[in-house]
Amino acid sequence: MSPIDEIKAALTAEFPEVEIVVRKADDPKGVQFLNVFADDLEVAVEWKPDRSFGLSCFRSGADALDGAYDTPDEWYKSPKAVIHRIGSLLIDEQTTRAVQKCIGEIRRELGISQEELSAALEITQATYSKQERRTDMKLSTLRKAFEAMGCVVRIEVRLPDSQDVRELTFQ
Amino acid sequence: MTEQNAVPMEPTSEEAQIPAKVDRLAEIFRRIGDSPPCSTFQEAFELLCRTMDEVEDALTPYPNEPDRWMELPRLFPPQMDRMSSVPECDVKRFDSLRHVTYVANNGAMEVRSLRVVKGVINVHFTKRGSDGRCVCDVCPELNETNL
Repeated sequence: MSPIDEIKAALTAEFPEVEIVVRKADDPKGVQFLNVFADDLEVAVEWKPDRSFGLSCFRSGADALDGAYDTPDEWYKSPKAVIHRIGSLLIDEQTTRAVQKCIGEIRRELGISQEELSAALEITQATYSKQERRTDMKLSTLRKAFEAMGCVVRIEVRLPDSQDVRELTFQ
Repeated sequence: MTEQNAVPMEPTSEEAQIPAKVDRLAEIFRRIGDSPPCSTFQEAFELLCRTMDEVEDALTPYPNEPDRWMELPRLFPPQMDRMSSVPECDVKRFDSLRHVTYVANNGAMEVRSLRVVKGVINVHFTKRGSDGRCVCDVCPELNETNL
């Protein structure tokens, strides 16, 4: 049984109501795929023997081409971690989105321009634009950007075995 | 804000002008659609790969370095390690996160969403082969669902 089959078996036992599809490339060393289709969510996992598990979760009905030929949002080393992550996504009905995508999407959703937000942050629009496109950023930068939009940022840490959740604060 | 962020890849000023991935995909599909029909799987697969590379080279500053696919926000063509055979059909499929690209042996191709809801197949792009047949003509079972 491959790790992808293990993940499917565990998820089927835990979430019997969701549709789970596994597909494997013809090449035995090729990529194996697992897709979970829940009510409003689509979870995609891909793995090959020499690589970690890539994972993305999309909102069904959102931009239908989002994710095409794209790389996964998150990476995990063990099937156990993937199972826990998918479980939490399904229970919390959350998607995985890269930080820089989230900031831009939420800013646009709130109708805030880059000019307005950069003014609130007291930085130039060019500097803010760079920040929004970065693939990594300090937590303090993330917090300031979201708080300037009137949002509240919470960070959850999920423990690997118990799935206990600890919330971190910025104080 | 004066703090320095830990940045693995510094964006350039031209990044503000980079079209969104969905717009680059639309351009890729437009160019493939405008190209002459293909007559073999190999021709169609090469057209797909070549067009994706051309569009990404033209519209983004990201280098064509497939080994860095995990870190570069570039659209990379499907690789052979993602290919599987559609049962009892002369059609190959390439899976990505939530989409599947079918390429038939007559040069037809089709890009769909993986999820089929209530029997409705969501096709994003389709191109007939040089013999005028589409993927579903080569493999009629694909009219019903994704195989």
